[in-house]
Amino acid sequence: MIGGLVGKKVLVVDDSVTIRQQLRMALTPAGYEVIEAFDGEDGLAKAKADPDLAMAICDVNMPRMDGIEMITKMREYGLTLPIVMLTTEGQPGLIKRAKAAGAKGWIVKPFNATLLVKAVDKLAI
Amino acid sequence: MLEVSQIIDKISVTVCEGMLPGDFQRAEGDLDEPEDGFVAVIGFSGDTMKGALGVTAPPYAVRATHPLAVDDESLTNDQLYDWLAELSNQLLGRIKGELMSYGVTLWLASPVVLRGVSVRIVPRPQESVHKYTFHGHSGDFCVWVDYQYSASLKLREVPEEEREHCTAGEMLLF
Repeated sequence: MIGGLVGKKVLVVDDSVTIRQQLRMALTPAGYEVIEAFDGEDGLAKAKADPDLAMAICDVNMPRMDGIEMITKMREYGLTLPIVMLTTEGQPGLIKRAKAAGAKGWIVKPFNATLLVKAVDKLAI
Repeated sequence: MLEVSQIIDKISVTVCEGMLPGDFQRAEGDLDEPEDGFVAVIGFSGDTMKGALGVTAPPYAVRATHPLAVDDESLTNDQLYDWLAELSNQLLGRIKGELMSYGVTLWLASPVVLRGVSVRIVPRPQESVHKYTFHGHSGDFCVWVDYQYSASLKLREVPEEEREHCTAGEMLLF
């Protein structure tokens, strides 16, 4: 087993199935169970339905509900799981907004799988 | 001071070379127009610049750049459409990141993917379309950036110590 603890669930929210698959390929060998959601609304619904989520990795720009709005709604609902943004965006204003909404990290795509797993190991509750 | 178009050309080529696999080499001029072509288009806008980035390639070339291409034949067309959309998003995201180093802020739209026969880019009269072609064993990739900018735009490199934005691959933990 490399990295994380067996069975911890990580919610992966991205409208690109390729990115979700890449994340699954990075996290599964490290012992994490990956739950996929295809946009912010889907991510919010899955987070509300599963109290055992250890953390979430979330895109910013998505249809229906973006990642920052999803975090805001999760916090309003009382969900405290750590959330890291994974996006092509790097604007300081957006990073500040995400941090203010409760994000715990920001990764600019494309991601390095080893560094990502280290971040998940550190943040997953 | 470099011209805006020179800087965007340099950034675009560097970004494409960084993202496409090694067997895709920069080529001059127009290459093959694929009979069966995939196209991803993503728009952008900002205070001083607006336009769109497009990527055109045949399915085999898209397949060759897919990050999960462990078993090429297992990738469905839907997976290829998704990847081409993501590739265009990441290409433009990197260009946007580089332009932030010159003080330009852009906002990106969501990509759309099209599929067609004998797809080609038709330059508009004002020659705002800048094409960058890459030849690979599996087919040719064409990335094009169509942009207009305000006459007052002057690109000056922001000193490194004053840059606040994150670039591709960077990670911040709060």
